Amino acid sequence: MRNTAGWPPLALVLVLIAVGDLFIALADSTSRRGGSGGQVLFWTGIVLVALPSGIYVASRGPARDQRFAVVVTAGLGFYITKVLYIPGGFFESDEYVHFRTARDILSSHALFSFNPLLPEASHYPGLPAVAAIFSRASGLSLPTAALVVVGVSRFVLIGALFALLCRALRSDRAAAVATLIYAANPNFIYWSSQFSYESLALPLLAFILLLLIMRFTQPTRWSDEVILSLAILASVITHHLTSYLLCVILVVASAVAWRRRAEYVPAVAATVAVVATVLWVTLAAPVTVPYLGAIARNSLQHTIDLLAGSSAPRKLFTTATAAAPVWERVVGITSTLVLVAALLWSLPRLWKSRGRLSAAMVGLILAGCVFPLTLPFRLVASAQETANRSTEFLYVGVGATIVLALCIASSHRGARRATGAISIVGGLMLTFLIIGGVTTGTQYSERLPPSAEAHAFPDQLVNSEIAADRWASSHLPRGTRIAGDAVGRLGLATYGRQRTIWPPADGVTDWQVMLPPAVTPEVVRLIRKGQIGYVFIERRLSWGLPSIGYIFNRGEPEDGTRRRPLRPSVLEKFAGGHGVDVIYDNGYESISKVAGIW
Amino acid sequence: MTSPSKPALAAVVAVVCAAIVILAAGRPALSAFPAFLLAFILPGASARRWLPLAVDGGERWVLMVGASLVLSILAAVPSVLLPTWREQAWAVILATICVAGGVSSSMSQAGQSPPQPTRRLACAAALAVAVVILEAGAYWIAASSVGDHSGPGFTSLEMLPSSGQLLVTVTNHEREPTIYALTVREPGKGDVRRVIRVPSAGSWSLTLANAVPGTTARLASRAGRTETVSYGGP
Repeated sequence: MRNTAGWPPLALVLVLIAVGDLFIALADSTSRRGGSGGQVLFWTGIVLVALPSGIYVASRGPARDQRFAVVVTAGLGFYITKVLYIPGGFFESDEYVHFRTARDILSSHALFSFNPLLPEASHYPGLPAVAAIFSRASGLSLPTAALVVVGVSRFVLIGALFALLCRALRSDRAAAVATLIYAANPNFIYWSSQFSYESLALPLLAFILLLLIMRFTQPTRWSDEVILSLAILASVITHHLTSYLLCVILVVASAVAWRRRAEYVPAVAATVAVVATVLWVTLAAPVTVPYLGAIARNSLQHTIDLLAGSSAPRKLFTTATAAAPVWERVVGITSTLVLVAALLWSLPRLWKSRGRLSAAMVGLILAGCVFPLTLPFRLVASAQETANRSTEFLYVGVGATIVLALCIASSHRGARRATGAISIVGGLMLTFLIIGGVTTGTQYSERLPPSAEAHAFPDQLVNSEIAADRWASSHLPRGTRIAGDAVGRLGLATYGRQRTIWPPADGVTDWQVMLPPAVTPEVVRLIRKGQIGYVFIERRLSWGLPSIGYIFNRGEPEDGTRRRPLRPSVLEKFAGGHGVDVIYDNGYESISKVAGIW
Repeated sequence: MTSPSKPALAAVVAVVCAAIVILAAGRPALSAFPAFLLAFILPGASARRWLPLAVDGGERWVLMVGASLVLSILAAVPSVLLPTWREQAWAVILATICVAGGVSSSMSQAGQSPPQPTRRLACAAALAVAVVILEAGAYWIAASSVGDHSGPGFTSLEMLPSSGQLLVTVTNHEREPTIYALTVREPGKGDVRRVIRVPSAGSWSLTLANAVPGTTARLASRAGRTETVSYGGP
């Protein structure tokens, strides 16, 4: 390890990253207490993590180990942003899906238990199994164990990407900059940090690609093939789409290596990936095929509708209840345009050097080229999630492509002067891209925790709701169906261990029971049909409008167009009457037994 | 960055042996730190001979942790299927990997790195401690604000209308016994104030004769925190 001369010193950078997290903690705390200034503290924290890291890795002095230390610490610093949002808890709905699977694994000693929040998720048990077992072995609570598992995964993701890019770009400076460009992907700070199978699958994919590129670039041993195969198997049981992508990458890599008569052809790895994926989908997870097929069909249909003019484009930077400030929209759009422009500038330069590019680099460039093609899909309501989530994969290519072109351009021009200025400009640019990523990836109103005192619609689980769920867990029989609102179901299915309604299987939807103004004969019929034993009433649903657009289910009446809050009388219709018995009431939430009207 | 050396491997084997002894004694769980080491560091560290050759410390750490993560996942899935002792089965599988890999690596010179200067290691350790303290401070700030309002460490007040009665339950989720002032106001009646002591992780209940909508219970702790709930709506 060589000594580093110049500024900023490594120690200062690492301490500033930690101070940045302190600011973010203050922002969350301020917001939770209903104070003002949370957004300013939040952005100060983000800049304190991003700017020193960016300047440091863009400068020429640091050694490879030092750059590694900074990119990994920055990656973990950004991960802690999500942890600080809700310490010891969850906030994204996907987290509750896997929380439920992990609890089922612990209580049933079985895989693939029915998960009423998303049945398909329990067929990929890699993440919940390891979190559940780690929780039991360590004595930590399940949310805390989940936090540790995802944190370790984040370390592997960033470290593996940096090592991978070092080998692909043959420069640790370029690799560090490309890794921080990756950190600018819109999902990096919040979405990829949640307790969800993709948060483990993506690091496994990066780890597998690192093992693969190591096999191409250095003498190999049979044991390398074993660890590669084990990593592939772990990936296959963790996430569906990542395992499919892995198959494609390994098959293409095998074909290219075979055609180039390379010393190593990853045929064994490709065979393991394809066979394991096919076997898993066929034997353990056949339900994912119709699930993913429906998502693809919806995306295609809505895209066609948009092109035909029969549906309106999705509004960017807005939720049903809030819109981002103008400066955030400007930064979000500009940062995306900067990346697209940089890609367009890079491609002709790389084309001239195509003969010298490695197969791995060609793969990364192709991935980078796909990114601009996904942008129009952000305007399509049902396709935007796929487009948004693809950035977690494509930004690896985006960063590598742009940085390699910059390296080629600077070597041609002999740009070796004013390196201090270059590193500062580079750091500022990286910070700008990361801020842009945050503004496009996470809605303004969802970036900081809501005030516990606010008289507003509960977009997330709150204290009293969790208390009600825990009461349900200890007092209600397991397996009886319970209807509730979209947020309430998350708590009931996890903390409450209840069987919430799953419309495709139960033939009834929560809104059909909950939205009518009275217990009409039709409501009674639906309660009978769905064999609903209990209903969960959250009175705060009448305090405002939901940011996601719907209260109970996607597709309910006035989904996305609701202008007035729900009337309290709608919620109070289960407060009594024939066959209805209020069995729990804490002032905000109540649970009524409705099995008596079957 | 440092790489595992022979003393580290000896420590690995010692920790794993200790884990096996603890498990053999039937203790329900390892504590957090040994479990963390066993799950995410030791399998890869002890089996480093079988990992690809890394060019530096950073890459070596990625390979170690990545391999450990892979092995932990693969060991977890069969372990959960066992009817009992599943977490112990997981730990034993990982510990076996650690022992086998550690012994194997100890017998080989492959992958060893030169010793790190003591001063540099001390500086790195001091820096790591400083960063960890700051991050822990950030977590404490965020967690303490959650503790006031939601999540772990809260006090809840529940009403359970049953047989025309109203059950007021005060649950103490704090780590220590806590004294509260509970004020109950029923419509048409005056306030009834009681001082109650609720044990740690315990609860205290009061049954009111009539479940009258509008009944309000207000709970105040000596620290000044208050919670108010009312039956039949806020």
